[in-house]
Amino acid sequence: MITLLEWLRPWEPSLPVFLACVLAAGLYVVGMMRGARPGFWPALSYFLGVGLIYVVTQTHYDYYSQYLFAAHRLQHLVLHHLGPFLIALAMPTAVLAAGLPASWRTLPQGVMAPFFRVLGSIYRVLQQPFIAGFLFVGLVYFWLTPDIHFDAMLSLDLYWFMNWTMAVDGLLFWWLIFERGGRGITPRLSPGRRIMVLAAIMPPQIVLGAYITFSGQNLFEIYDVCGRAFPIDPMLDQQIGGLITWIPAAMMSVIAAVIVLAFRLDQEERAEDSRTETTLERA
Amino acid sequence: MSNPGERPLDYRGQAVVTLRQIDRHNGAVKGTAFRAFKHADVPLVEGRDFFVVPLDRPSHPAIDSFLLQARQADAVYSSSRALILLTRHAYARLAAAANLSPL
Repeated sequence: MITLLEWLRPWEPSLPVFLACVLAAGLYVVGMMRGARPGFWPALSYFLGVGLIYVVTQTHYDYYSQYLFAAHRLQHLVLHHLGPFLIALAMPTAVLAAGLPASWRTLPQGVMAPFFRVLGSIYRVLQQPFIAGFLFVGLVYFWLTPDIHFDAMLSLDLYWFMNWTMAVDGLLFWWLIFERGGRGITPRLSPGRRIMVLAAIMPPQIVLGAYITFSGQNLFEIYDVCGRAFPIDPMLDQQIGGLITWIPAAMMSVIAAVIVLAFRLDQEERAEDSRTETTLERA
Repeated sequence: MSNPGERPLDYRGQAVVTLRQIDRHNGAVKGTAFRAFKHADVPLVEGRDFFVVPLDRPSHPAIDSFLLQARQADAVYSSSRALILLTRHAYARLAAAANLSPL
């Protein structure tokens, strides 16, 4: 029987992942201590997102991800979909900025300025709706190409590169979808365009998930080399993994579309309230 | 916890150990040997330092006989579909690099 301590011990310790998660949580806490008030639900959403990313990468869960295809798909569902989704939903920019030293809150001037300008330009290109959607789906396909998947699961460096690309791309994509509040450098899409992007990424994910689920052959042989984490038929493992790629991943688009619409309605209600107040004041 | 009495198997005249034997020898969770093998800093060459034997394809009678020997020694994980066999010499190098117990 595995103890709690063993569960909490990472199977593949990664200092960059550990530091990124601690920094993300720590900065948010400092921001709140300095007076930022994100509200209960955004704070919960943010910590849940960061926490889930930590759990699937820096605990014993990662062991199952490496020895079970279904667990690997769940790990990527969290890294690419659920974790970044929750973080972006919280729109933590203001709180994180409050957590930073005052001198870091504006874009750097002087010798570093051109570097950040280039970075900003690359960011804006990556956040073009077509490119963002293409990257979002393309990465899932890329890392699930059987030969590439085999190599990624066999090499520690490639393994972490794969996980980082999924998490960073997830953050970029969901940030684009949920972007709101004060204008930053992220392109602000209309609710209709956001929903169109969400609709466009659904069919390719459904096709890939269905292909994996209904494939008659064992596509991901890396899990056969050492054997799976526990005795399970390889095809059943693959089918469960395919279903995870197919259903929850596509469902996230539907949930996101509902949230985008809710934001829109909320915005309209606020505008209506503001108009009513102005009329009453004049009267 | 560990099983210091793990005996290497004979594969084509070479003393080899399976990943399951290494895990058991070190009293470690399944996958520990494979993780060490995947991340080995020491260069391991297939055909010299290790061999990969598929379990689910028809093979040579000599390999079938080896697999029987390996199964009798409980040296194969039931869910494995391919067997990685490390030579004794390669395991000694791997053990030194990955903090595993020598055989």
